[in-house]
Order: sequence, then C-alpha cells, then structure tokens
Amino acid sequence: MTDKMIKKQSFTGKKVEILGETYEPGMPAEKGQWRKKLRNRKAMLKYLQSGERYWYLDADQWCGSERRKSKA
Amino acid sequence: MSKIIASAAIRGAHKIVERAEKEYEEALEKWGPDQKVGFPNTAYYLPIIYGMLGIAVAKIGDMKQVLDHCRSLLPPPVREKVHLPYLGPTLDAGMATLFADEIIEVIRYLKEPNFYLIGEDISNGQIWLGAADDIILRKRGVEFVDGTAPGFAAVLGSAPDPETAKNIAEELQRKNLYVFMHAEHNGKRFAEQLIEAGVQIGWPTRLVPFGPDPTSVCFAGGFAVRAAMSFGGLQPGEFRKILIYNKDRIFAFALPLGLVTDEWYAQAAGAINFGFPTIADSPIPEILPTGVCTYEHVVSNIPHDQLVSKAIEVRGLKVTVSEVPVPVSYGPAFEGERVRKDDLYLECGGGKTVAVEWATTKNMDEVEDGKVELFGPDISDIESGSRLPLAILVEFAGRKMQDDFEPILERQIHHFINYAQGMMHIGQRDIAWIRVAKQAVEKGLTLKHIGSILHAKFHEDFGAIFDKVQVKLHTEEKKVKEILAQATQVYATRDARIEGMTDEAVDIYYSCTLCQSFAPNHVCIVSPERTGLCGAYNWMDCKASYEINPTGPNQPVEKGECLDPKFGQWKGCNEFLYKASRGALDHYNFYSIVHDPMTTCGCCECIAAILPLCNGVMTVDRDYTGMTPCGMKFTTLAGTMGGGNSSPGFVGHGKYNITQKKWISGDGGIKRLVWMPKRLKEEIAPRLKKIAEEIGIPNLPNMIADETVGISEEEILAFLEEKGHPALSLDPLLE
Amino acid sequence: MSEIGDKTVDAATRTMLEKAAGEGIETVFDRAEKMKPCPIGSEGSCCRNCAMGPCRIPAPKKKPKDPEKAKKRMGLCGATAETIAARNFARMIASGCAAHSDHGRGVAEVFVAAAKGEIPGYSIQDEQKLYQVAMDFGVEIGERDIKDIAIDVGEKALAEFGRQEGELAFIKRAPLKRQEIWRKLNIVPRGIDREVVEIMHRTHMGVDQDYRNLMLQGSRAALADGWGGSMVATELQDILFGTPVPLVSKINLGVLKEEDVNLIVHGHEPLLSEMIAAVSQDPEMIQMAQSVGAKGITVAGMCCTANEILMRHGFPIAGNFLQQELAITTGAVDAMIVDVQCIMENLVNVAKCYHTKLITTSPKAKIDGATHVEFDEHDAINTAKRIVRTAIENFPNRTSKVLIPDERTDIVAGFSHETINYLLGGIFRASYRPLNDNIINGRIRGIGGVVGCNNARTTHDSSHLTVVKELLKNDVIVLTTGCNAMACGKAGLLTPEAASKYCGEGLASVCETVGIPPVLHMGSCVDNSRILMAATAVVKDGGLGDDLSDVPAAGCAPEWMSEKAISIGQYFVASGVFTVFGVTFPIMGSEGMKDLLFNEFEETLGGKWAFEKDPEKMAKLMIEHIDKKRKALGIDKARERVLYDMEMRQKLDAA
Repeated sequence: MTDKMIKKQSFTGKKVEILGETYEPGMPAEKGQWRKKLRNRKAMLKYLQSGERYWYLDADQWCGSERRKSKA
Repeated sequence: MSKIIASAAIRGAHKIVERAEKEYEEALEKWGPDQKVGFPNTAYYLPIIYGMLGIAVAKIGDMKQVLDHCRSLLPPPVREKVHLPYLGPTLDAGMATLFADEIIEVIRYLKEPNFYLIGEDISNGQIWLGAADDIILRKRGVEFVDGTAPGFAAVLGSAPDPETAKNIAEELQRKNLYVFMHAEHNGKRFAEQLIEAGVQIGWPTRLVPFGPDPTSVCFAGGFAVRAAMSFGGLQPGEFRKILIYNKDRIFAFALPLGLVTDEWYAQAAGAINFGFPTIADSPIPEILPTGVCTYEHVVSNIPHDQLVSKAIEVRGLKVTVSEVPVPVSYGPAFEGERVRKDDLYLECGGGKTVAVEWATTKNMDEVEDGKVELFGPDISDIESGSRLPLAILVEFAGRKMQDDFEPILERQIHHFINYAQGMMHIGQRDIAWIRVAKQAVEKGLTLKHIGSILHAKFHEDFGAIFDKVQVKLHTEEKKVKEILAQATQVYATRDARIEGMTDEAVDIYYSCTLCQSFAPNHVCIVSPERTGLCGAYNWMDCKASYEINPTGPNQPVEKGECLDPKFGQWKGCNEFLYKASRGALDHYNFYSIVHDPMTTCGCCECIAAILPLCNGVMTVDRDYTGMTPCGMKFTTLAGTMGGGNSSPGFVGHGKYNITQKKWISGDGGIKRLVWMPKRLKEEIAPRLKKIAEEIGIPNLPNMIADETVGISEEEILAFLEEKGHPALSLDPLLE
Repeated sequence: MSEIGDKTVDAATRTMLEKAAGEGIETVFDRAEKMKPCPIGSEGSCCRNCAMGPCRIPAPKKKPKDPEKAKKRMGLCGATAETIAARNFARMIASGCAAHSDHGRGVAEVFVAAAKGEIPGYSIQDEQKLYQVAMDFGVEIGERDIKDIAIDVGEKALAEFGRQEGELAFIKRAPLKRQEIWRKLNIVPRGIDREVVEIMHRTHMGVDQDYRNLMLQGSRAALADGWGGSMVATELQDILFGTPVPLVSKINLGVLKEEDVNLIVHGHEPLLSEMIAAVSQDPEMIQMAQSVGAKGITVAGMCCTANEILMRHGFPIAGNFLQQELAITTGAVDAMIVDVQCIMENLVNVAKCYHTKLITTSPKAKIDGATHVEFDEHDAINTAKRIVRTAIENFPNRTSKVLIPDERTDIVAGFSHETINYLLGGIFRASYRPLNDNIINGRIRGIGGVVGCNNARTTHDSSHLTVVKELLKNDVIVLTTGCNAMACGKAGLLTPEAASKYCGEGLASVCETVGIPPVLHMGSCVDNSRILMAATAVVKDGGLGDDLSDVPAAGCAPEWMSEKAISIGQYFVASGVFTVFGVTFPIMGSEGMKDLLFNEFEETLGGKWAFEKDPEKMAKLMIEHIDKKRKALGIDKARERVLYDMEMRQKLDAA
C-alpha cells in the first residue's frame, strides 16, 4: 500500500503536501481480536487489574488523576 | 484518532516493527543470542520495554519475546469500508512502535558504537547524543522534580529555515522546557538548523539532539518512563501507573515540523499513551475530543510563532515566566549555556581578575528598593575581549530578614546571572567567575543589567523574607578589594556558625516534600546535621523556604522527645513520618544505616551501603558510573532503594553530609567509611581532612579505599588491613 | 386494509409482505389488523387470579366528576385498580425474569458439564473472562488448573439460582451508592428463583394487596434478572463462546442465498446455535450440501439467537422479530431451528406453505405440528449435525418460487463492555475516561440505551429508528441490544460511516476519534446486563456522579412487546435509570400505579418509568432527562481549561 499524498492549504496560504486517505481496500476480513494480546494468566490478571480496574482493584490503588475522590 | 491518522500510524508501526524484526534477525545471526546489549550506563535496560512490560532486555536473545509482544499488539491495517474501531488498536500500535524503536536503536549501539556520543555535550562533527544515561537522568530529572523544568518538547523534522528553528527553540527554552530533537524533514534536521543559527545545543542548554531517525523518539519516551520509575518509585511492569504519572506530571508534547509521515504518526500514537499530545505545523487532520491526553490529542496547522504557546495550552501547562528587564532571553534553560573564548566580550574573576559576591543586610532606611548602581566602567566603556574586576554587593532590608538567610540568597546569584542568555557564571563568593558573550553585548546587555536581574529575581523568589533590595556593582580594583576584605571576614563567621550548629541545639527540624509529587512515598526530614539527601537543601535552606512560603514543601517538625540519642530518633519526627507516609512507616533513625535508616528517594546524591567483610560502609555518588564493592552500580542502588523505602544496610545522603558529625554516627560514623569513588574523595577532601583531624585519625583520608584500589570487598580488605583502617577494630557492624 | 408502507419501514420486509399477500400467507401483520388488543387487559385492569373473576374494572373513559367514587372501583375481593395493575405488572416481571434466568440456568448447567469435560464440543474459550468472573465469585485463581477454576465458577453460578439468603454475587459489581439504595429498600435479591416464586405467591388471591409493596418485590425480582439471571447468562456464555470483540457482518433477509442450503437459527440461546454454526462450516457438511446441488451452507440468525452468534462469530442476521414468518416466505429457508422465546406459533402454518422444516429443539418449547429434534447437550455436535443434515436433505424439496429480497446492510458489532473499555485506551490505557471526558465537555450529551422488541401494533422498526436518529442528532450516543439493534443495523446505523451522516458535530467527532459507529450493538436481550456494566464503569471512572442515577443517561424500548421487556425496564428503573416505553403500557388503568412508576420511583429508586407512544417525543423526554442530569452535575456549562503550574502538580495525589 503506497501512501496517497494530497495538497492542502496551510496557515501560510500555500499548499503543502500531507498524507491523505490511505486505506486497505475493502472491508475488514478478521475480528478485532484484542483479547488475544493477553497471552497468559499473568498478563490477563494484570490487565483485569489495570484495564478493568473498576471491579478488580481497590479504588485506593488507582493512581494520580485517575484516582476517584470518593469510592463508587 | 482520525481515520487517516489511525491508518497511517498503524502502517508506520508495521514498518518499524518489521524493521526491528529484521535488525534482530541480523544481529542474532551475527552476534548470537548471548551478546549483551544495552544503552550506556543505565539500570533500566531498554526503559520503555522495561517499564511497560517488565522485561529486562540485556541480551540479543531477550528481544524475541518483546518482538512477539509487538506482533500481537499490532492491529491489521485500517480498511476502506466499514472499518473496525481503531483508537485502542492504534494506541497499541504506538506502544509496539516505541518497543521496536528501542530494539532498533540498541542494535545501532552495537553495530555503530560511535554513532551516539556519551555525555551531555556534542562535539565537532558529531551531534547525536542518543539515550540519556542515568547520571543525566538523575541530574536533569531533579529539575522536573523541583519544577525548574516542567516537561519537554519532542521535535521531529525541521523548521522552514534556521531562524524559525532558533525562534521556536528559544521560546521553548524561555518556557523552561527541554527540547528533544529527532528525525528529518526535507533533508534537514532541527538540531542542525540550530547549530547553523549559532545556537548552543546539548543537555546544558536543554536542547538535546537525540537522533537523526524517528526511532530516536524512544529516547524521549525512555527518559519519561525512567523518571516515573526512579522518582515516582514505580516498579517495572506497572505500565498504567507509569503512563498516568507522565500524563499528570511530565508536561511533554510532540512537535512534528514538516511532512508527518506514517512512521511519525506511529511515534505520536505511542506518545499519546503517555498523555503527550501532538501539535503540528502542517495541516494534518486534528483529534480534538479529549480523554487519553488531558486535552486535545492532535492539533494542527499552527503558525510557527504560535506553536509553543499552543502546545503548552493543549498540554494543560501553566508556565510562569519571570519578567526580567534584560535585552536577552532569560530562564533556567540558559543556565547551562557556555560562553566560549571566541565569543568572549568581557570576563570577570575566574583567577584572572578579582571578583567577589556578597549578600548582606542593612537597615530599612539604608536601602532603596530597586536601586542599581555601577561604580567604574561598564561594558559600553570597554573593548571586546577585556577583563574587569567585579564586586557584586546585594543589600537587603526587611522586618523578616535574618543574617542566616544571607548565604542562601547569595548562593542564588550564581543561578540568576546564569539564566541570562549570553552570560555565564561559575563559582561563588570570592571565586566567582563571569563571562559575557559578544552576542549578548550586541543585544545591549550591560553589567548594570546584573543589578536589574538580581532585583527582579530576588523579589520573585524570595520576596517574602525581605522588603527591599538594592545592588551595588564595582569594577574598580581598589574598591573591589576593599569589599573582598570585608566579605572574607563575613564568610568566616558564617562558616563557623553553620559548622557549630547541631541537632541538639534546635527543637525544630524541617520536612521536605519538594520531590513528593514525584516520589510520593519518600519523607525527608532535614536536621542541621543531616542535610537533605539530594544535597540541595540544608536545614537553613528549609527554614528560609518555610519563611518564604509557610504552606510550601518545607514544614517545621517539632522533633519532640528523644527516643534514641545514639541512632537519632524523635517522637515528633516519628509522628510526622506516620502521617506523611500515610501509615506506611512509623519510625526511622537519622544516624544509622543498619537500624531502620531514613527513607531514600531517587534524587539522592550518594548512597551508602554496608560492606560486611570490611566491617564498614562504602558510599558512592551519582556521577560515578563504575562498579562498587557492594556489587551494584549507583544506578542499580538508586533503582532498588529509591521510591521511599527504608532499607537496612543502605541509606541515601548528600555529599556534604559525609563530613557532618552525625553521618551514620549511631554505627560509628566516618570511622566506618572504607570506600568511596576517587573523584568524590577529592571533591570533599578539605572537609574530610578536617573531620579526620577532629576525630584524631588525621591519616583517615588515605586509609579510605577507592576504585583504584579495587571494586570488590576482598581487594579493599587487604588494603584496609595494610593501612590499619579504624573500621576493622570497631565493634561488628552486624550483630 | 392499510398500506404495506404503514406496516414497516424496512424494504426487505415490504417486499416479503407483498409476496406473502400474493401467495395468500397470513402473517402477524394481518392478524394485528383483524384483532384489536383487549382494552381492559392492555391497561392492566383485568384480574383473573381467582375463580370469582375474572374481574374487569376499566378506568372510566372520561374524567369522573367525583374522584372519591372513581377510586372505589374494585374486584369482588375488593382488589383495587392499583392492586390489580400491580399484580399483573409484577407477574410480567416474574415471567420475564424467569425467561432470562431459565436461559441463564441452562447455560450454567452446560458450563459445569463443559468444565468437567463431560460434554464434547464445549470448552472454555475465553480464559480471561473466566478469571474475571472467578474474581466476582471469590473463586481462588492462584496457580490452579483452569478446569478446577471453571468448575468452581460454574457451580457458584448455578447456586445463584437456588440461593435462599444473602445477596447475589453480582450485586457487588454495582456502584456502592446503588447497593446502599437497594439495601435500604430491602430489595437486594436473595436468590434468582426465590424472587420469582415470591412474586407468584404474593400475587396469588388475597396475599399482597399494597401496590407499593408489590412493586418492591417486582423490583427485587427484576434486579434478580438484570444483575442475576441475565448477567450469569451473559458472563458464562462469554467464557464458553468468547467475549464479543469488534467484527463486521451483514443483516437483513438478503443474507440468505438462493444457491445455498439456508438454515435460520431463531430464538434466544446460543448453546445449540453455536454448534450448528460450527458444524455448518464442517467440510463434510459442505460437501454433502454440494452433493444435493447447493453451493454451500448459510446459517443466519433471527431474534436474539442471531445476536449471540453475530456478536461472537460474525454470522449474518436474517432479521428481527417481525420478520420471522417472512423469512420462511422467501421460500429459500430449508430449515428454521428454534429454541425458546419470541417464536410465533404461526411459523408452523407458514412453514407448511413452503418446504421449510420448522424444527423445535427445546424440551421446554414444542410446537404442535413442528418437527422436534431434542437438543441433547451431551451430544450437541451430533444433534447439530442431524439438524444440518435435515436441512441439506430438504434443499431439493424447494417448491415455490424463491424470492430473496436484495437487502443486506453492513454492520459492525461486538461491543461488550470490555471491548468498549479496551477501545477507548488500548491495552495500556484501557478505561471509560475518554467517554466520560467527552460527556463532561459536552461533545457527547449523554448515553441512550435503546432496546427491546418489535410490536405488530406499531409500524415495524419505525419508532426504533426515529428515536435513535433523534438521539444521535442531539449528540446522544446509543447503546443497543435485541431487536432495536437489528432495526439500526438494517438502516445502516451500525456502521462507522453513519456517524458523520446522522450525528451532531460533537458525537460525530468522538465516533471519528474512536472509529466507532454511533450506535453500539451490545448483544442479545440477556446482554442488557452489559449495558448495566458499561453504565457502572462510567460511574466508577468518575466525574459523572456516584450512582447510576447521576449519569446523564436514559433508556427506552420504543416497540416493546414481551414480558421480558417489562422485567428489563424495571431493572433499569430499579438501577436508577429513566426508562421510556412506547406502544402501550399495562398499568394505565391505575392512577396510583401511574404515580408510583412515573414519579415516586424517582424519589426512592432514583430511576422512573415513562410512557410515550410518539418516538420523537420519547427522544425529547430522554434528552430532557439527560439535560436535567447534566445540570445537576454542573456540566451544563462550558468549563475553563485548567492549566497546571508547579504548585498544582505538587498538590496532586500521590501516584
């Protein structure tokens, strides 16, 4: 797949070349198998605690700006 | 994401991961799986991989599992019609890109060992600095911790011309930001443009040429990840915490200049995971909805003169820039800039002429606030390449002003003068050395401006402890020598007073939570005889800081009842510790390395460790990169100890603290010191000599081993026995 | 007779109605015209709970002059309009809860047997989801064997049905404040079956005669559905067959292929249809199909069975509830395999007009005149093979003219709450934060849950689409399940391309950022439990209140018809969600019940019901509610950008 380039006007008023719409033709052929990215029990549990932490990690353990002021 | 960006980033990620796989295969073929790999002098392996995945890549063979991870993280390309959702997959692709970057770059270190320079500075013809080692990380990281540097801009590509590049870089410098430079556009690179425009680049001026390829973006990411691990005390593999730490505390962003290629998009996708947005000068699609970053994710088509302010706004950063009335750029980023011989217009002090700096207190009616007087010739009166004697006399007045604050204020002169672009300041007191560059003089800088700078900055940073300040500058040798004579007496009185100050003599110690936003679990309490372990804050500094800002990071701690005079434990300190550590710790000892020592953070100057065989302790400072007799390099020690742990057998401390009487006094004090790096020993030699004499072992400095003696306990034990080191005859350190 | 155009907005359905009319096939659409609904029953004013009745006490058509007198209308025993409506409503909940939960029980039984390795064909497909549910049930993970963990999880899940006391395990998933509300009202379900039984007891003649008290139990049973039976079904099905991930497929009758052996799996459970779907791709079966002159085998779904195999495997959907008879009318369906729920008895009559074999499979659901092939989970693969073979053998028997409408639309589905969470941040930053953020900053106005059935009393799919489009136009993102999802799918709303076409600017920009359709298909009707979880995640992430009732969100079922819908509606209301139903509402004969459901509940449960036939007004009610919640949260006004200086950073919470 080669990148399709297009010309677009920039703040200078001049046209500059930027990357255009470059996609794989057709429709998706496979599922978005994101769960397969977690390949063993350790990774799965880690993801549950960090990604789906709402249910599987005490809210005190959430960090920084993600930590809730009151538990919910 | 926008569909265009997601598609490009995913394609770019595929290319970079494929390249990493190819590089790996070739390296494996050539060197085999057991070949060691790594960035120079770091305990964090390939830091992004180490931080995110918890995998320590030390050998070529270790790369395989990382590349497998990259593969599984890579989503298929975005389809033209009825595409699947791409935000999550693109962010994953961005991460895979950063992992692959690190693999490509570390293999480059193996293939072309001289491609990147080691250290902070560029040299002739070679400009790429590559991965920042742990010394740079700690030294520079502290600036992120104390706020002198709020973040960094990762610049990719090049500006339309060197002048624009210079303007962008200087604006970033004025905003106190670091500038990390990568990749090229139109065959030009931002770092090269800066050199062309006569700008000094390198770590000291915060303009860091990382690498010529987009893959060098991983050096910026690696710096960020390590900041979270070393200062935030986060563990490898705690990917979410590390990323959020960066989102909350490291105000970084990407500035792609020129054509944003798919490989650049891939890097940008990686950066978004950290909460670092992209601000482009080209009209690429924008991603305005918020969520992964604090505000917008991609903002584009920003004119060059608005680029920096837009970036700061998008990143959610507020930078307060000092309004200092000088005709040159001013800010901490210019502190490290040097004035080379060829650029020299004026030089004062530095052994060539007499120079002295003195801060003193006067009565209210003796000081006229803002008055700057120059006695003698100014720059306009001399020729380029001249020298002048110089005395800088700063006179304070105010109800809250105390004699004890004078040395603190005086020390600031160095920083304040250095912040001016084209002015270099080294040393202090009677060893001050000032250089002024031709370029600055061309812009109209005069010596009198030193006075304006000091007046403005002292008011800005220390206004709470004085009411009025005036500055007198002298460039006539006779008068300078007069002032020098007065000042020398004052220096001696001050030193004697500080020396004589003991923990017993005061009831109040001071906490220091300056780095707590970075090292949340570390609780520092500073006493007169236990200077802050970062080396930057002594008891007096903390006291002044508290006076300046009563709700600030230094709070008084009533030491209370003494629970253990030998090891240094007080009831009041314990109570404070319990509260500040949120119940994690309920006590520690000020004077011991063996028994519940004080906690250590990632910014400590030195770390002491016990050497059981020698019945003593060693200490190592952060500038020493070699192995030590305890079997760990400084950086490994800091990685293990930092983050607010109290670890018996190890303790962090400042350099100055080594020669204070209470340094591990509970365990035998300085008599236990059996090893330290040579350079450190030289640095503290005068004070070391003095304390050795005081304890009646004047020969002690020569009995302390260093790396020239050995870096194993066995080697140095023989040396200690030969020298008759006192540690050998002390009680056993460990019972 | 009304125009076909008034019956449906779906082109394929229209084509088939014309064909049916031409061939003299009577469908639900025709019968809806011939027979009007019973006016007394439809307002909930008929009590047939004892043999002194049935007592019919319709509400007066005009407003009575003496309201005291009007209040006195009552059955023989004295049961007031309130009691009668409440009893009927509670029994609807009981039935709906029973349907979902019995489905869940069936899954749990298969799950346990599969975990033990007793039934070939079923295994643990989603290890991570197993750990997730194990944590909810307090099953130890450690280094234990997957098999042992699965057995424990299955047994714990199964025990939820017959549990007698305490609280259902999944109750703990809800926001803390919500749990407290339930506990305070004493409506935390003790066991799934128990709450249904207790409704049947309390609605028996002469037991609970306080409509408020009845509705408390109704709430408890409904919660036992949403946070119990339905959730168990969803979770265990995910473990057995995979948690849905994004995928593309097609929908509408045009997915049938004239040259293929066409099987339609219709009903609700995935247990058998999963096997049929798998077996249909077996080379042996395909070869057999080819031996009878077919090109291949097409398995398409109908109703929620369709949603199940779509969400997990991308099998195409033939249509929603009102299209079931019409599918057969194509003349191209060689076998329609049905299990439980929403299967019209008339299928057997339509099938008789064609060669189609109608195959019932559940011992719980037989139809007189249909072929019964009982599904034996211990021999699932062979059962499935037998069924596929029957279809193949039936292929040569096609007689009448085959007409498959050329209508099929692309869709993107697979939005489990886990997948949404992943999509918003990837593996390293997964969270609902971007959704919350964009609700807070107003790009998204709120969340609309649009679910439910088709109902022949209203134009097929019309209300569904009107409500959804109205919400999208007003920047309300739509979560959907069931027959609404299919209506949206057929209309092209389940594609990412729909975002720029139908949404307000804000919502469109968020859809473009994430790459999602503006309407997220979350699954079958038991999968409404996924919506509960997604909403809970929104609450827990923060910034939008502490309870489900604080979130700017509302739900609706514009074309509902089944008792399951009532149970779903009640569990959403009891979870704090404003829920609007269309078409008709079965308590309109009782002033007290109207006041309780439409007003009082908001005070006690935090959520309430509304009834509105007009889909545009329905959307308006939802948007008004969303705006009310936005105002309460203080996010109705634009917020200033916060810029951080060093001091603010130092004050940040520790990492």
